[in-house]
Amino acid sequence: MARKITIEPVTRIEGHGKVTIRLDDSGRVVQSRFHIVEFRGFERFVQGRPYWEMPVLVERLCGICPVSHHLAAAKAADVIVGVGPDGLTPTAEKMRRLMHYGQMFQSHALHFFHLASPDLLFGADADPAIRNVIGVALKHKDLAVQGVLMRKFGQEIILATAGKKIHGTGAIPGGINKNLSLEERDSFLKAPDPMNVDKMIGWAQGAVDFFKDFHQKNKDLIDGFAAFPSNHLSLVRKDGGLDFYHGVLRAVDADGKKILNDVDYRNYLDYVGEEVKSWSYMKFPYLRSLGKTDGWYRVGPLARLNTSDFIPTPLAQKEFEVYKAYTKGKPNNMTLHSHWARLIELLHSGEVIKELLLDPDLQGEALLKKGRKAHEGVGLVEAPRGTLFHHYRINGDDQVTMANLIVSTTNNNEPMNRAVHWVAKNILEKKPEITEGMLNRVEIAIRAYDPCLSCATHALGKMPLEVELYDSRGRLLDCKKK
Amino acid sequence: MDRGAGWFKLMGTPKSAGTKLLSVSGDCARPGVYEVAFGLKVQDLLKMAGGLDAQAVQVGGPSGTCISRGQFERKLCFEDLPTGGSVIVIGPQRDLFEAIHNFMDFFIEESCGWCVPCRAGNILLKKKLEKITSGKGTAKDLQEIESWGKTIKAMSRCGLGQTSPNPILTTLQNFREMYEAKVRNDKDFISEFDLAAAVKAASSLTGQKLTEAHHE
Amino acid sequence: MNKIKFTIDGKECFAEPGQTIMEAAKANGVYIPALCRYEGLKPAGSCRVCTVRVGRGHMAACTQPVAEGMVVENIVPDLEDMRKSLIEMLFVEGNHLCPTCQKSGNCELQALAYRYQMLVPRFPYQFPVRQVEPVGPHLLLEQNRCIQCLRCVRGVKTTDGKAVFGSVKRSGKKKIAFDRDLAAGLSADAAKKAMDQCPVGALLKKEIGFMVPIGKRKFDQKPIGSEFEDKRS
Repeated sequence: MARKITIEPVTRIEGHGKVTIRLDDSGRVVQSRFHIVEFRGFERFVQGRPYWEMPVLVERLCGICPVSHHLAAAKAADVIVGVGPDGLTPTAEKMRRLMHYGQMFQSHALHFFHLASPDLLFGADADPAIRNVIGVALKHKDLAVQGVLMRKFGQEIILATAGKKIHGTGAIPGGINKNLSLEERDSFLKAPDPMNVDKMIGWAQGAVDFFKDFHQKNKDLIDGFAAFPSNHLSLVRKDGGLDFYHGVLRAVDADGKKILNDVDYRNYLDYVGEEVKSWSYMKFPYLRSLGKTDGWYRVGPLARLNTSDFIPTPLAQKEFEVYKAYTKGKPNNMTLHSHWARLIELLHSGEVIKELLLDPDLQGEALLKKGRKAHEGVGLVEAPRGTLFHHYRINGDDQVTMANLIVSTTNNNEPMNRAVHWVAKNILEKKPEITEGMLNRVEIAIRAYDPCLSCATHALGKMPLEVELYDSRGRLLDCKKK
Repeated sequence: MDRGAGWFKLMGTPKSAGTKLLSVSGDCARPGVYEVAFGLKVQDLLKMAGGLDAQAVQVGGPSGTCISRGQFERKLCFEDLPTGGSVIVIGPQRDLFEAIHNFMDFFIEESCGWCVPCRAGNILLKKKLEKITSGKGTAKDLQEIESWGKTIKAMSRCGLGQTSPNPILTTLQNFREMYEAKVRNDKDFISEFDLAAAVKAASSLTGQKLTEAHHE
Repeated sequence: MNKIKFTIDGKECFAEPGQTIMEAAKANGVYIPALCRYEGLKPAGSCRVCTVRVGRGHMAACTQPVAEGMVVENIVPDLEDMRKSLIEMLFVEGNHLCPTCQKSGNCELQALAYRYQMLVPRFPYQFPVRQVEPVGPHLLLEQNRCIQCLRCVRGVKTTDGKAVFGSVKRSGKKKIAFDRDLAAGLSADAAKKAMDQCPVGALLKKEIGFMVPIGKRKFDQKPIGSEFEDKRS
């Protein structure tokens, strides 16, 4: 009996998506898809708007990592006002970095503690009624409290740099609109426990240790689940160090061979193409040199730790060495290791925040620069979920005529589909009964990428979760709704 | 003129002396300009003009007062029903709402747009009227349209805006049952939001069909 | 001294002959909410937000001269609600998307909406289709946000005194237009001044958006009217 399984919506991710899996008469998987059934249209409606509005307008794509869009757009606008991408004053660049690392900190904390940890703490087959953040709060109070406060800490950093916790205005074309007062600085450096940066770094280290311990006890799951080889893409610092705010594009293949190296991201169109498929509102990007079929790649924490040569802060570098040793220095292609990589980045972000807070440049007065006007700008950052591309063209009246955004989740489109397919093949195929726990494994695979679908597209309506059972002629035999 | 003011004052009422030229139009057998003494009952005017079967009479033009059959005993004078001369007879076959709607169109067209209440308010009033006449109104809409109308009257800069809500306000007063019959009393709120229409552009752009699932 | 004696909400006030209610109120430390009024420009009486009540009559405080013995009602509930509804009419008449507007925090329409604790306008949004028009080399005219206050028509002049802006069409189609040749001659300073005169985000000097951080904008610390009112209701 052929079946079509629909998981809708996929839970504990940002935004709305659904999964369909078709099984044939013998229970074999014939097709699996992760659909993005939302549509947003930002690229269209920014047309005609003045370019300096972009950082404040496009950040409305998302309430989770608006800073990424804010900064990617600001970097593109820097190019338009003739100071990008390396010409900012030290105060401006460091304020933006602080904002960005504050965001990485809050977003990674949110994802691990609120969205991913329930699966690890309770197991994929646990009752969905407790397999959520409320369950974590009840059973593992310390972890839940840390998750909430780490997120809050990151949000406070954003508030101090952007003026608001969500959708601020800090970055403007050519610089920043404020510096950090000593009072603001000390509220992060010297506040009583736990809301100071040292405690945050300590908690981040604790989260890494927690994961390593979990890994030791659950190697089969963490190493084997939805593991598959892929290419990896991210920005890296000129010297190969991990950097979330700025750098050059680097891509490596599953064995670590460099596909792209030292590429100026302003020429991204020469290297990255986008394919459209009829069944999803999300585009499928690929590396041009490898073509549409083989050119897909992963982005995000897993990819970044594969492309980077080192992490430029001591605690995170130590963890990076342990992490790299596990794959003998080769790229890591194990989907659930994304969580490990994400936590190492969380630790790194905490360390960078501390470094920046101690830097007197943040109290500098030179906030803005201006150069020769250009009519096109590209800006990239490493968002929590991966590489984020913003590209604008303007007319002689400063109005945007073209915008192209490739968001992190879009970059991970094909990998998420692969991960879903892996689960379909390995967990669902030829099973007499499909359990809720099995379906949750599909979601676990997607969740590892921390996809932010609201950002990639936009919902037209509300979607129920349902599983439909079809016979081989496509007639509906059974339907279960959650 | 040669008979003097005293003679003239013998006609009319204490505060509205003399005669008045009335332009009677609409659904009557003998439309035209009538010179009558102030204080004439509407009923008697209708008799003269041949419009006794009228369901309503608009006295004083669009910005005046619309009265119902029960009020045809009222007198045309400054003490009761003042008029610049315009009397429009609205026959029983007419849809009174259509007449009110036309009057609102007229005011919207005539607004110079200088001040906010008249420029923006009249358009909003007309849309509210349309909501009610299309059967999507509730008792709350009747309260709101009355309150909005009063605001426009009080806040407008000139006589146009100060009287433009009158077609609605006076019929709301004199033809209350007509409005009551249009609104739904079983509901407190009816959304004007049409999801399918709102996402039409996006849906066509993406080739997506709005399924039932989206409405749930 | 031939001072005119009158009252606003019971408070005894004095006015010079010829003063409008608005001018006299200001001189007596009384706040009357207003939007189209701008210090130094001839009053237009177009927004009607400053409408006060004298006896049974309503009149715009910015254009009505004070008379001896006037009893003016200003901050009274029904009048305040009608003023609030004018603000709401303006919000639904155009497309006022505060979150992404660079005038946010410096916008008088927004400040009045905060004053009146507007959450959702009582009127349905009209969502008009309007354009952004370049005005000379330094200015943009964002028609979506224009409220027809006519400040630019009254206040933006060339160095030889010619009005750059004018008002065209009528009713709901009324809009601000400008002379292209005169606009081309507006300096950067004149553009900045025009932007500052505009109560909303309709006139924008290019390339200075969002330069003032949140917290330092005009109404961030001091709500509109707070220069007169110690305690806000």
